[in-house]
Amino acid sequence: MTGIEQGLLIAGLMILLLALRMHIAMAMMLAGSIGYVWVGGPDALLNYMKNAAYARYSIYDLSVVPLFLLMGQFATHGGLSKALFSAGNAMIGHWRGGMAMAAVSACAGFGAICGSSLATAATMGQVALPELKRHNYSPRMATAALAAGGTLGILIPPSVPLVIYAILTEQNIAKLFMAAFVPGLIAMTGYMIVIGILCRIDPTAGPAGERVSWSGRLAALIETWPVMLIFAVVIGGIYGGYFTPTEAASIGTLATAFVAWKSGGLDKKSFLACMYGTAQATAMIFLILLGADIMNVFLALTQMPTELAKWVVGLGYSPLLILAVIICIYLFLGCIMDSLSMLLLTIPIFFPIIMGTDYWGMDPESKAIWFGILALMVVEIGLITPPVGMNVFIISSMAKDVPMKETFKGIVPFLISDVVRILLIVFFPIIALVALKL
Amino acid sequence: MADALFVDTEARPDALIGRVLNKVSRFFAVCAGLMLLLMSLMSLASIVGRSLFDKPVLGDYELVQMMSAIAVTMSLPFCQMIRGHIIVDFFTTGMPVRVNKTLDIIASLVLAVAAFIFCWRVTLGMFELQANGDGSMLLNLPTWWGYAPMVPSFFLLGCAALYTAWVDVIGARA
Repeated sequence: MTGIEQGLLIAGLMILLLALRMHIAMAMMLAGSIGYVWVGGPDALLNYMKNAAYARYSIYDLSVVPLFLLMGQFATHGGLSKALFSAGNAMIGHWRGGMAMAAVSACAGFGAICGSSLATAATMGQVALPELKRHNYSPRMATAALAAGGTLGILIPPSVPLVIYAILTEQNIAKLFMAAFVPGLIAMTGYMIVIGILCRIDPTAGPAGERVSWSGRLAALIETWPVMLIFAVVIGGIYGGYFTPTEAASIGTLATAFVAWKSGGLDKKSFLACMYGTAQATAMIFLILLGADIMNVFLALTQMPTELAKWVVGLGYSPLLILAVIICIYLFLGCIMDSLSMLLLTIPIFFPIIMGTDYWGMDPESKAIWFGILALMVVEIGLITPPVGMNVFIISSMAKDVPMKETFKGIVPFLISDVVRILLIVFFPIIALVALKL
Repeated sequence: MADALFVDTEARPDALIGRVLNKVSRFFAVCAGLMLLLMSLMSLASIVGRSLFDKPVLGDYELVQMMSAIAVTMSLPFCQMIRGHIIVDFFTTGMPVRVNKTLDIIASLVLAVAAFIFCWRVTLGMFELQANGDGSMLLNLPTWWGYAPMVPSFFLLGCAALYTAWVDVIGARA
């Protein structure tokens, strides 16, 4: 049996286990272990297990993940979401649909200090949903805008999936964060344009609010200074090379905790909730990492990823067709799986294919970064598509009077803007790379 | 998810063993969070020291590695106690509850076995490192220190998985 066949057989076993409700991490671990024993024998596996957990969990660059999770937890308790929403509302609330746009911009602002889409959707939903309802926004518009806006939590750095991508593909985290910035802003603008168009078609969906005076606007903007400062220090520090990402995340965590404490949002109970929330998300991610590690060690032993890449490249299909197939696979997987598991499962296989194919004559590093941003955007769509659109679930659980179907219907125009943005980045990689060329 | 939203339901298990596991796993989770905060403070000290006094914390890199490994492992049992580890339930939503429960029991048992095997292997790895005196580059911290908290964490993870399986068995009968 060739390596490719062994690899495919074990991958098939893993998918079967996944479908049978096994923990994603365990499906990878069990299938990977069986494959490992098959190729290397039981002693090799047992030997590997002695040091695998520590080796995987003590990777310096990975330590940024639990820190960003903790920072996001503190941010949700810090009252920062309210300031962001008020500021956005003061600036553009008097436009048609302006308050929904303000909610989207606040999601982007919150995403700048929080690397979680669900937390962004939930926190902003808490603040913005009652206000949108009070101003007679249509329920469909209000819930869909927040569910879509929530995805900005991950699209705008810091972003946990980008850290994982960086580690899987041995790329520079700082560069990936910078690269995600412009596409993240385009995503925000796209969502705002969608809201604008929808409100042109149906003015009752998002009635205009009252105009706020410039002094009022200034005051509202000044209220957001903690977010701006934390973002500037964290991302500026990483980009300027003053700190490593881990150090930047450390400062961000402490600063966010301080702001949360100052605002009175951090009593003993919510502090414990922050600890538990961090532990849950950390454990979830790192158990999958351990499972994926075993799976990937097995795959590397069979040399299946490189063989497969050689085979695909050798077929001589057009690069765009290959990319289109990969994107479609992501869109399909996004319907049933979460973004991180998807990246961990597919990047070891897709990355060599992309690197072996020519896209607009990009050099390897640019190509790796471009594909990372593209993959991030595509997998994030899974958060707002049925049947398992987690962001929609979260918003629906808060707006109990709005049927989930309504929200999913409302999401469609936002999905169109996602697709347009992905096409833009496919054909104009410079959008992702421009921040690196400055 | 790559992503999680923690909602503390404050639900306390009835059985004594459940209450004990719940307490201990929560204690581990808080320790993990405090470890992360400590790590942040150390990084801050290192940055301040390096920029103001040209004196970073010696071996900050190694400390971060060890502390994050410990924090991560100590988080694992809590996540299983609240059934936070993710599954794909897309293909089985249409099936009878009984089938789903049975599959969940199997999944928990697999996790338990994996956790106990890891507990056993990490213990062996720890003794090996202890015997050959492996240490970190700058501070010469014994590497096995990082392994030591992993042993009870994986053991607790195994117990938590067994417990969740047991709860499902009881629930399936009732």
